[in-house]
Amino acid sequence: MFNFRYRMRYILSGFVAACLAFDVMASQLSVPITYISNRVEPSYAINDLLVRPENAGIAGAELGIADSNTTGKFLDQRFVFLSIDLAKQKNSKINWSEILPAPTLLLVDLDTETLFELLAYNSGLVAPHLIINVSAHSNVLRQTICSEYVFHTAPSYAQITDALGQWLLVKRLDNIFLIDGDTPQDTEWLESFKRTAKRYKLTISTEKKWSFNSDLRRTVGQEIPLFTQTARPYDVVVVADTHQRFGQYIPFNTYYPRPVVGSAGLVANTWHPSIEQWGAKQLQHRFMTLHDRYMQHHDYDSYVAIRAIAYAVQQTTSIDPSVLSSFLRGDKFQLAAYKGRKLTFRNYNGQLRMPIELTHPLGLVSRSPQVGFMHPLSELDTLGFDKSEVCQ
Amino acid sequence: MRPSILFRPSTKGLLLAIVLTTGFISTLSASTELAYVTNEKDNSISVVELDTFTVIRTIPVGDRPRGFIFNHDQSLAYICASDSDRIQILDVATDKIVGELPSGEDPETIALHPNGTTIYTANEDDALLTVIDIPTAQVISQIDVGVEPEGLAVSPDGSKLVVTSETTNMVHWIDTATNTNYANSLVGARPRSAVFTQDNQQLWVSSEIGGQVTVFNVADQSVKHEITFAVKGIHKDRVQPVGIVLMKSKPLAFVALGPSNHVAVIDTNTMQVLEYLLVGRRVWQLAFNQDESLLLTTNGISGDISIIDTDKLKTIKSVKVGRYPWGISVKYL
Repeated sequence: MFNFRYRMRYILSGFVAACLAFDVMASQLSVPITYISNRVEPSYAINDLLVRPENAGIAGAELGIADSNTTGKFLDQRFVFLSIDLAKQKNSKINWSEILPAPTLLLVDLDTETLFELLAYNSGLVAPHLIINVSAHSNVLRQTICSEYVFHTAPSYAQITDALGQWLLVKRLDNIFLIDGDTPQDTEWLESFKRTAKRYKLTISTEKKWSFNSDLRRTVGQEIPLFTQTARPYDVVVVADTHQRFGQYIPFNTYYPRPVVGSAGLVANTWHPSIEQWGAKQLQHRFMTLHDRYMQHHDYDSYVAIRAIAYAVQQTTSIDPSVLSSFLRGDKFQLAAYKGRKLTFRNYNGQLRMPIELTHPLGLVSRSPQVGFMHPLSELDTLGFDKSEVCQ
Repeated sequence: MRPSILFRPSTKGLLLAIVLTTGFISTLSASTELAYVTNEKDNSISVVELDTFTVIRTIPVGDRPRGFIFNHDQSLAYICASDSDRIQILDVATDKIVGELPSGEDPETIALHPNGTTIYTANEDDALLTVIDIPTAQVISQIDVGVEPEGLAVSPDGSKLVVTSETTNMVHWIDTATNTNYANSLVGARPRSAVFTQDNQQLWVSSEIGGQVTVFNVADQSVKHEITFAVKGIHKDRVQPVGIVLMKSKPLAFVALGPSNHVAVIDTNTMQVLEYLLVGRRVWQLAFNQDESLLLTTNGISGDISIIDTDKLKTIKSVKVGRYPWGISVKYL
């Protein structure tokens, strides 16, 4: 009941704001933001405990809109949220110009292939859309797409693996047993981790592909020790299993009693329900009130994207994608996003600079960049790609 | 007449009671100034004696205590028990919670009107400012403000109230006579504290993520100065202004700079930063003692308070208190 009451309040206040906007405020700036997704069911069997909530990502955008409208009412700005689910469109070929007739502000939650299609379409437009990628982690996107209209609030795999690599180095866990989950995304993750290992001089002493020829539910206690047995001990097991098919069985079952990091055990991402510093507790409260569940990293990435647009609109009083894009990449952009320091976009590839949280399932362990990792511009640039690695 | 056997032990008991009570009262009405510090994660208040610099008492209070102020004669204190959704009233003579005020949800900071009977609190979760009448313990009004309202200040003449909203990046100006919001000013990202000058002419506002302090002309809400900071050896992103105090006896302002672990000293005539004083980790709120010879800082992460000698501009001592010390006020002699 409690939560329902508050949910209603949010919805009603939005409704009242909308009515007011319609009636009296002719000078009001209306800011439509569109969320495009194509939620394709993965072909892999996923542990029930790890299935993404139905509204993952979009839920964060909704909270971002509510927050932005609370601010907007003092500035005569009204943020309107629209969503398009491409998975519901049966046509195999997407007609982008039909879906997006006018220049718009977009949050995209798409698979890499569709996203590249959209980016290619966008780069051919005279008046392109502003695109913020809120879900794809692909490194290729960050290294090869340098359109000034494209931004990423989702972290790259490189930011994630660098965050882990710094922690491993600080903990002196530099002899690694690496497990490859053998899906295309796992391969991408693994490539990224190998780049990190090279940067930080971490030794991958063993690398093995996981093969699904046993029933883990019954024999996990026998299978994993055998799989992770080596002649000489390693310091840590790193698992690349982005689809969560087997990684959760690795901790506590390794041949040597060693920590597990990567996609199971200690994981690196932008957000976790246990984060409460730097005002995060308030954000977690608001999210829980609105959606009746904990805020996950997908939600955070979308929330931050909306807040970034809203801040740019607040400062420029424009909704023109080109004006907003150049503001987002500029020096004046500064986003307070519950991370204890201002977040900005890398102007060379549109990636959001941000600290990465290292968590276990129930709590925060650490946060990267770790102390002592330096960069001439910002310590946050020790995570992910630097200018010289992009669009060369 | 020989007293009855029954009477004697009770006389002793009475004497004992008198001795104990006197002892008890003498510890409470201390001969020195006392700093009251709310410990956000310990649900308690640490009371620190300012001549010996030791914690002499720890008072259990409601959940997640943050904002803390005294009433004008310092007989009572008001505490924001954020997670208990109430303002608690502490009787300073007995260290007992003697009452509560309705606060709305999640009160974070409080400010008292000069009339002594109206108290304002920012409801961080609900984007509201609540106006409370103390004698009747009634909510007079709730005013819509931006997301995560935080810093509150009432002008010394009592005519104006401002509240900052952290996620909306604004200062909301409110007329205390009508409880209406008459102006809004955008400031740097994540504004925290607001303080009026004694002459009611200026308003100082800190922006934690923006890394600056904005000084407004109160009359027309125009920006008079923007003060920025540069602490040697610390990345500018970690220089995050939070608490501000303005000295009455000298033209000096002190600004707590959060995770840079420094307090900036500003000459209010020239608006130049004179010095940066090293204090504990994640310095947050600030308070003077009565004659302003000492400045106290709460340091969230190191769980202590630092004591600054304002003549020498030197940090002279740190005192361990509870976990995440947040608010601080000094009980004068």
